[in-house]
Amino acid sequence: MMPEPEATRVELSIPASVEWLALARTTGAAIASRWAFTYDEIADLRLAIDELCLSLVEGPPAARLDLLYALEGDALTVEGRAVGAGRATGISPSEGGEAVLSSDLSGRILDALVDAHGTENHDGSRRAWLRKQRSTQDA
Amino acid sequence: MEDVFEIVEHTEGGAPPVLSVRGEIDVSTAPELRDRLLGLSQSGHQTAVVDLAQVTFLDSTALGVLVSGLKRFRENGGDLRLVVTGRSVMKVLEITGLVEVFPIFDTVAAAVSG
Repeated sequence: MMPEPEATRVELSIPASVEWLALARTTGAAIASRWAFTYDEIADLRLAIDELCLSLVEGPPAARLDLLYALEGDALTVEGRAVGAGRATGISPSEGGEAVLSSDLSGRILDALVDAHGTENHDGSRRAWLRKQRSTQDA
Repeated sequence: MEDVFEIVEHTEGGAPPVLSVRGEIDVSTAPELRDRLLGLSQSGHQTAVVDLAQVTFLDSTALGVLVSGLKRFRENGGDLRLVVTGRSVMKVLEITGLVEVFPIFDTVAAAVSG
């Protein structure tokens, strides 16, 4: 077991539009680095967090995305919520079938990169989460 | 800092045009790639090359744009070839199974030659 970092929970709230997703994934990568995830695990998390946020902004327009990054044991969990009624998210119209294809690919990416993930609707707000275990090669 | 997103087009003689992409292709930048691919197809090019050697991030939106482009070029009797040198981009193509779908090359010269 690695030493516990000084903080094990970080919260981030961003506007629910596509221009802000880079901040969500970059923040996640920085946190994973601070929490001693490997280079490859950080790269996996960066992409997985992007896909998680995509699943939230592709739904009905929301005002903001609230993200919680938490270290529980050797696993990083990221939970995102689309909160409030918003305007357009900035997603450009795509060609026929492209959105469905991207959604299918997103599921495959998450299946491959994280240990568990899910989405649900609760009390009118959407929630998506993922969990990834860090390696413990320092033992 | 994020890399600046940029698409540069090269065309030499009768060779397929090459779109060299730099930076991160995500939901906010993928539409520009879609428009550039659509433009090449509509201007009569049957085959094109997308050089991803300087791409540092690629998500499902970007993959959707590339697959749609591939379908369009193949419907016109051509193809969409990719240049991939980075481990992160190759990994995304592998885990989605698209490494079996696209013709993938190590260099632009090899991709242009086909």
